[in-house]
Amino acid sequence: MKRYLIFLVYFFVFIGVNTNAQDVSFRAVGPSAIGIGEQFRITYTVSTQKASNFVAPPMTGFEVLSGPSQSRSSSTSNINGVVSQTSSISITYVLQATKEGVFNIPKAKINAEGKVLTSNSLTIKVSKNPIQSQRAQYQGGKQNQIQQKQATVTVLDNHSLFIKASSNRSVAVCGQEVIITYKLYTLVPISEYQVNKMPINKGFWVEELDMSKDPLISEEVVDGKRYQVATLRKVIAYPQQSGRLEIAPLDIDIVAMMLLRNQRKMSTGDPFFDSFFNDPFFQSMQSSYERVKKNLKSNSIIINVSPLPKTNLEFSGAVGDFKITASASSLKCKTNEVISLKYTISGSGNLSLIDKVNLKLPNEFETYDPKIEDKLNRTQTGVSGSRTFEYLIIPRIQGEYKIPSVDFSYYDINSKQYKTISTQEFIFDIEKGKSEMSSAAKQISLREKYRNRDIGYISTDKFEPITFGDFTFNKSYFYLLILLFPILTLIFIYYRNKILTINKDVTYIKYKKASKTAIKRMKKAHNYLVNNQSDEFYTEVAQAIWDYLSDRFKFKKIELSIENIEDKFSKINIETSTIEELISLLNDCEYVRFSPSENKTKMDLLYNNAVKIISDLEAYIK
Amino acid sequence: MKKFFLLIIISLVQVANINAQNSIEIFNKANLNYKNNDYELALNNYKQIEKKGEISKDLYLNIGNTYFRLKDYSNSILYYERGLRIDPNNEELNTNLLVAKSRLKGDIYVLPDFFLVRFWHNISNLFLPSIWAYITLIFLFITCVVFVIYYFSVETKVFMFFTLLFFFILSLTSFFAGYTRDKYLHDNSYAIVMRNDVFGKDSPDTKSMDKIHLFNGQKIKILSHEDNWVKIRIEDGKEAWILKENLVVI
Repeated sequence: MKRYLIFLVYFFVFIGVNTNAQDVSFRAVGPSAIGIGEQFRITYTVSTQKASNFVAPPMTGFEVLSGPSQSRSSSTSNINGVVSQTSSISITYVLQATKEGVFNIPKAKINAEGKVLTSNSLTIKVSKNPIQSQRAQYQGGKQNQIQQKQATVTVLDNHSLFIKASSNRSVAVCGQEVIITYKLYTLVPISEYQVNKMPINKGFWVEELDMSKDPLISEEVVDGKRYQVATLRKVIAYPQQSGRLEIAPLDIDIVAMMLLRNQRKMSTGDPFFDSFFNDPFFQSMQSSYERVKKNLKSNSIIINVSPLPKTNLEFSGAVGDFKITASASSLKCKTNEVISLKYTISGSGNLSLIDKVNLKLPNEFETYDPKIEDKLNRTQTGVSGSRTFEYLIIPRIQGEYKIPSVDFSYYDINSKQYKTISTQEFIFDIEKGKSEMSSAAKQISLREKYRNRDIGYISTDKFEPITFGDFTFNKSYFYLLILLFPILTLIFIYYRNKILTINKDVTYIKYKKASKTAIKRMKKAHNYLVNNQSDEFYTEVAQAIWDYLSDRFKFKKIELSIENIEDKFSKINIETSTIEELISLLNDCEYVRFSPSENKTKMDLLYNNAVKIISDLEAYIK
Repeated sequence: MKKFFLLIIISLVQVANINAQNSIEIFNKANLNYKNNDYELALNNYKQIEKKGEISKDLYLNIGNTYFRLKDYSNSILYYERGLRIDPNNEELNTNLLVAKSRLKGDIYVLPDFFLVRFWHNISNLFLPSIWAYITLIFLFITCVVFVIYYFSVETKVFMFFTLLFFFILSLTSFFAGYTRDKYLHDNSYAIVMRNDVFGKDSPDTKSMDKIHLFNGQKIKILSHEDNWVKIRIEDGKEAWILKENLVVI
């Protein structure tokens, strides 16, 4: 009673915790069967933390080893702003069965959320033989005894190690699933096993049930001996023909760990330590095992398969219990768009053997092979789930079309007769769309085109490993080179300009001074004119004009000729009269030099002409 | 001394030769195995060459074909895609890729690229990056020469200006085409889903909601990494998180 009082204090502490009002449950959980002397656990769980006044029922027939021990758990989750809290208190007793018989543990009571709740009552059957399903929870002494028994096996015979094949039924109809289980029974530890040959089962379509990598280990009692049982393989077989069919035996190699006979038993004199050290875990350390290889064959199973009754129905071979549904992605659409039409067969039976549905499409629709999607649930009891056939159809011509219902016939295993189920009809309203196919439809038709094609042959060219080259975009010197080109160009232009400016400077000065020099020279010529020095006068005038032309119009000395001057002047649009005057002047100068005359008027005229031409030409210089 | 060096050089060249010779022999052996329908053996041989780091579009094509014959379509797609990295316009690889894709157990609407993007990729796929690098430099050189002529010319200035512009654009184009090609060649952000029934999640967490259903052989783009999760984008534009172990990078 003291215990209970302490216990109640715990409860009061938790009264302050706020929980959302919800349905509060109060349940008791315990084993239904137990062996004498075994320990087990009874747990009372109340789904709130506002609980008090736990009243335990009398537990007659059992000895309370420990308890009540109390534990609480609570979790708070916040989903999209909605806070939900779940919390519970569990009260656990560990009991031991002392007497054989059937015992009843009555209902327990508790005050929770202001109400008095009662739990379920428990009925526990206590038998003479220990039931080992509970054993794993408690590391009691029993475990060691069993393993000691196993360790004493020293000869590998058909009783200490064998494979058993079993099926869930020995009589079946064609197409009805038969589950075959191969189990390994052993009294000795097994270190490894290897399947030599998968049995070939004639007349069966076999599907493996997914097994985890490590086989499931359990224990089973056969002929008073406790065997470790590993489920090696589990298959679903569908008989494809009638008659007496045999399921071939499974052939495997096993390596067993055999304890050597002349082992030195460790004995401390203390019974507790003895049992502790005789545990196989320690035995494997203290004594040596021998690896023994053995070939095992399972028994074969005979299954009597009766044929399906004859029928006129269009029958696909489906045996089981099925439903069919249909759905369309849209009932209204435009030509050349894609409609997805789905037929789903769900239920239990040989779903994976159904390869098509009986769809009759009008010719105005283009279609392809269906895409098959399985949602199969392969369990111990058989296959259930669904298989979906998705047809992608493309309407080519506008109009209203009816797609008739799809009939699906199967053999009902329960009522032992054929059944035909149908889907709904579809009426499609197809409007005229774009003449071109939509992008999605194009992709689908392209895909379908390639579905019927095979790949090309391999390349038989001489093998030449590809080299990507060192000189490429991830190398810094490539970018340096790219920069180098413009830099070189700029340097080149810079020096070229420098040279040009030096040259330019000379011509520029000459150009600037040209008119001044001409005027100076003309003055000098005028002096010669006054002094009647005709030779000097003509030479001076001619020289002055030539130099003027050359400097002011940037003729090179070599280029200086009457033709070039005429050419250039006409290009820069100097009036023809001026050009003509200039040419006649130059000709006169030339002429007079070879036939000197001292005609003063002529010299005067020539002088004035020259001055006039120079001033005329100055007008064209900007 | 000179003779000694010469000897070393010759022997080095020979070693390289023997290595190449060896690969050619293995390749031919593999081809023979393929021809005799011994695909497992052929695959083994091809992989041997690949392991040495010697790759070519022919090798990838043949590996892809071998996987196809072994009905391992996702690996087949992986190798065709790898081959297309090297030679994006290769007709055989493209056709075989489509054939392999049509064998997959799911299909997806591929969001088409913008036509200018496609156009640009077609240009950039013409050459390998190293060739683009040379082309860029040649055009750049011409551009520089034309620039000098343009700079000093007096009467033909307008004509030279347009010539200059033309070559300048050409060199820019070839530079970026090469850059794109180089990026594509060394891009490891695409991957193939290697397992069936993989679900893309909303966030990198196994408890997160399933968002998209991925299938074996599907090509996806990797957007970002987080521990052993990757954010991916599938070809119709949807994004999700999946575990890295489900993918093999192309």
